[in-house]
Amino acid sequence: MVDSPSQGNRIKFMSITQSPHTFTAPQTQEAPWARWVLTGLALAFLSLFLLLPLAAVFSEALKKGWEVYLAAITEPDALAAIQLTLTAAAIAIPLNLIFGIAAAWAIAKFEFRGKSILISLIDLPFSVSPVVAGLIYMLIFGLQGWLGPWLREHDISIIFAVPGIVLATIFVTVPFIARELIPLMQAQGTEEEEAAIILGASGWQTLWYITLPNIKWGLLYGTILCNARAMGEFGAVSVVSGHIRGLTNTLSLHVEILYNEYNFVAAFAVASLLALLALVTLALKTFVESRVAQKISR
Amino acid sequence: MSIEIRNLSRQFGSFVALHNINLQVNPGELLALLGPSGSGKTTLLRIIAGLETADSGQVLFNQEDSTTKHVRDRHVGFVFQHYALFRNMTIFENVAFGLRVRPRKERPSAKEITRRVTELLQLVQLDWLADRYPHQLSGGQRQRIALARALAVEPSVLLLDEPFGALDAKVRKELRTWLRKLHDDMHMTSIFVTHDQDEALEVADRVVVMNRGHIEQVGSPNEVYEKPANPFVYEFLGHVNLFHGRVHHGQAWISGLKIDVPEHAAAEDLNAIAYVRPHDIEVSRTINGEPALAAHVVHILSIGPVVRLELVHGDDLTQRTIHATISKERFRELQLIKGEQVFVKPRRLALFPNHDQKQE
Amino acid sequence: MSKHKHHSVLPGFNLALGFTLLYLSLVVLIPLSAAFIHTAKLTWPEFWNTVTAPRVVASYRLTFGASFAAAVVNAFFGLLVAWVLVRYPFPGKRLVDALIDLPFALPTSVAGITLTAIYVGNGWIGQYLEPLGIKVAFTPIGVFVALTFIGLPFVVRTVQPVLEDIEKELEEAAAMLGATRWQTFRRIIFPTILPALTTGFALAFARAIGEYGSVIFIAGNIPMVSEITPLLIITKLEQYDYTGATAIAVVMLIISFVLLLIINLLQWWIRHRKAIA
Repeated sequence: MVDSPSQGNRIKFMSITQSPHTFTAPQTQEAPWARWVLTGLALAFLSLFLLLPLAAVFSEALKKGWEVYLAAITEPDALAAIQLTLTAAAIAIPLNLIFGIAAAWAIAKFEFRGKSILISLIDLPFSVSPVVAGLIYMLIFGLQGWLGPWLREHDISIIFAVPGIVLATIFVTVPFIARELIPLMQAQGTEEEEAAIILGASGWQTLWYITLPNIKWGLLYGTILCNARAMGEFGAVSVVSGHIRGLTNTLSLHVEILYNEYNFVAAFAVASLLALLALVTLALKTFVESRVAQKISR
Repeated sequence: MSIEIRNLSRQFGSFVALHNINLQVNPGELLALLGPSGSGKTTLLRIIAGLETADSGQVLFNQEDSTTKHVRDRHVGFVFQHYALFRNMTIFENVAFGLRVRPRKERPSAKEITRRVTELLQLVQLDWLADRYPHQLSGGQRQRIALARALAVEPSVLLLDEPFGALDAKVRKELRTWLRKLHDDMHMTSIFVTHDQDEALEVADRVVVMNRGHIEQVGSPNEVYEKPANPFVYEFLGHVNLFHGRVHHGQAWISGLKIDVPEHAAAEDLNAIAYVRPHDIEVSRTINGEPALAAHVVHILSIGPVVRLELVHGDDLTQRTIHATISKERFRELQLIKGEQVFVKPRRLALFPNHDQKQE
Repeated sequence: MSKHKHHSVLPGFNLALGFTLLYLSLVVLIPLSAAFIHTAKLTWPEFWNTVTAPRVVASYRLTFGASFAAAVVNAFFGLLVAWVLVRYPFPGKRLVDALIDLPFALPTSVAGITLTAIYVGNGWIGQYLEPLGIKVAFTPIGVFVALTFIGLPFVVRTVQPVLEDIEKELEEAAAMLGATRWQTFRRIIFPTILPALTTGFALAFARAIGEYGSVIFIAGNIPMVSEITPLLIITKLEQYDYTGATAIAVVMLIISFVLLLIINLLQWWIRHRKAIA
């Protein structure tokens, strides 16, 4: 793992550069009974808080059999929710991708004042409550908001409509790709790009042939995380959605509506789709991590 | 192509990297920028390449002011210290890159590119590695590929930043000889940066010794080694023995020895330092009537063609170590053993009076 | 500095930085400033009364109390899990390691309804707790359970890399000097991972304070008892009390910023220690 001195090691709780390894040296090892107790305790805790909920989602979803399950996830409102969820992610991810590359290019390849402040600002959405994130868009685009009257005059709806959902999704996912790329590109330095420029490449050629191929795993990794959050976001979207069935309902919100209507099986059926998405995300993430670990080790 | 540097200065914050540098590089010569780290040599090289900009001063290529010219238009070949090979491309693609990114009109045909890349890979004797990736190559191989890549665009100047810095000692020596040969074949104006004096003296036509953003001396390897312009150059190039003393009207007193120094006839009672290379120390068992310093042998290292002696002169309070190198033959003649007393005197020395301060 | 600005040969600095700042301003900074500007409409007493109304204060108490308790539990078990994952081999370890991030990947509403289903009176766990007189769902304990779930990865993922980096020689040296395992842990290992542990704790705490989705289903949302602050903001919004909602939001924002500052200082601390070592 390479830490660049300028930006330092930000906490990378979901980082592609972690390489789990074990060491076993007799003189620095606990007694076998202690190992068993500790391992048992840890696994019990994880089972209680991770495995049990995961099992419960699928168990509840299939409580009344496959047919009820299939009916719940293929009814029109559910399909509309799937479509909206995909749309929001399809808009938010490319925008955050471009933002991530631009931010990482400026921060990792150049020196300028206020760099560390900029890095903190990029992380800001992580520390803002999703509810507050939704609220601030209400203050700008809502009926009583700054642009409310103007939007109404021109018959544009943002709040309680799809654009609001997209905006809220973008807000909560802004940092994901940038924070993966910044440390990665800082660690890679600027020599390869300089070499390309000296050899006559233009800026875009350098970006396309040199920089992007070098950061492709980081890009993929950030995109996977960004996608998971974009498709699963609840709080921020909930505030600006207005919960109009079939129109402004994402999957995550649809779960809530069904649940509040005491339609538990349907709620869990839709929830199981999102849980599957989470599992796919974890699998992809683990795959990318192992690819990167291989690359580093060879 | 000739290169001329005029009054070049560069500062990083309060750190002066280069101060008023003037330098002439002749067409076809191989020039070494030699200095310790922080001396500004790499900054100077990067400014010549156009990777860095100067605060003031000019860089001229063939008498034409190129100070504001973009790197892309300078036609320089640059070899980075850590090679900077494109890790996502094969060796072939690395070398071909400079040709492939040319605008369509100037770009050679695919066939022509293949021909030229193959030629270059043959030149660096690594054509069998064309399909490998950089991480599969050894350091020395990467270095040669980096060179081939730089040559692919047919630069008019070749710039190398610490070209052998990251290699182990054996590969380093091989590559040195190889680079010298390559240069003799191509005769391209080349500048390389190094902190290793052996490397600079062995490979270059001329050596520029740099220190703290200044040029201390420019000259052929022989000149800078035999006639160092100042104490810094003397100390930086090879091992030296340092003596403190005084100089007055063409005569120097160093550790009690009186030595004639006619070139300092005008000196009036000045502090001075004198440098003597280990191989300029004469060691004998008897005084032979001439003034000499008494010393005794503390360590003998007789590996290789020469014998290195560590001698100590003076009593417990004023004792100082003198390093002497003598030939194997002379060593056999003297039959020295550890602890014995000998007499030493400098055969040749370089004296630098301190004009700022008079002896009290 | 401007005179000595690094004139890099790489192009696109102005374009990249310009786009970054524009995007960040439009999406994050201007909307966030809207909260503060909107609140400025209130006089100080009005603001103060809004954010210190008994129901609001009760929600702070619950939010911070439950978040703190959850973060403490996560600090303890997170350290344990990280330790086991780094040091002990056991079958299925890679799978377990991958699953740690489930709370990041699982949408919060899914987590919310699932935890509720498990802990209600007839749920998988609830059925055993109810006879003991312990009610989890629809009580503050439920809030604590949900916040423990969503905070779980933070401590594990901050401590794990630091544990991996600890040099074996340190522990071997301690062992040879006669230290017991427990002494080695307490005097050598624990001080080394303390900054990371504290950072993980702070991250989990910060995340828990703002959490909404996973909590509202299990909390029961009884005013003065099990109502969290983010829910109160939503309630006010639904009553079209934008100003009230924003005032509370500003309080939460300020607390988030302070926590962010503390986390940054902690990371500086880690870096500083690393630099010395």
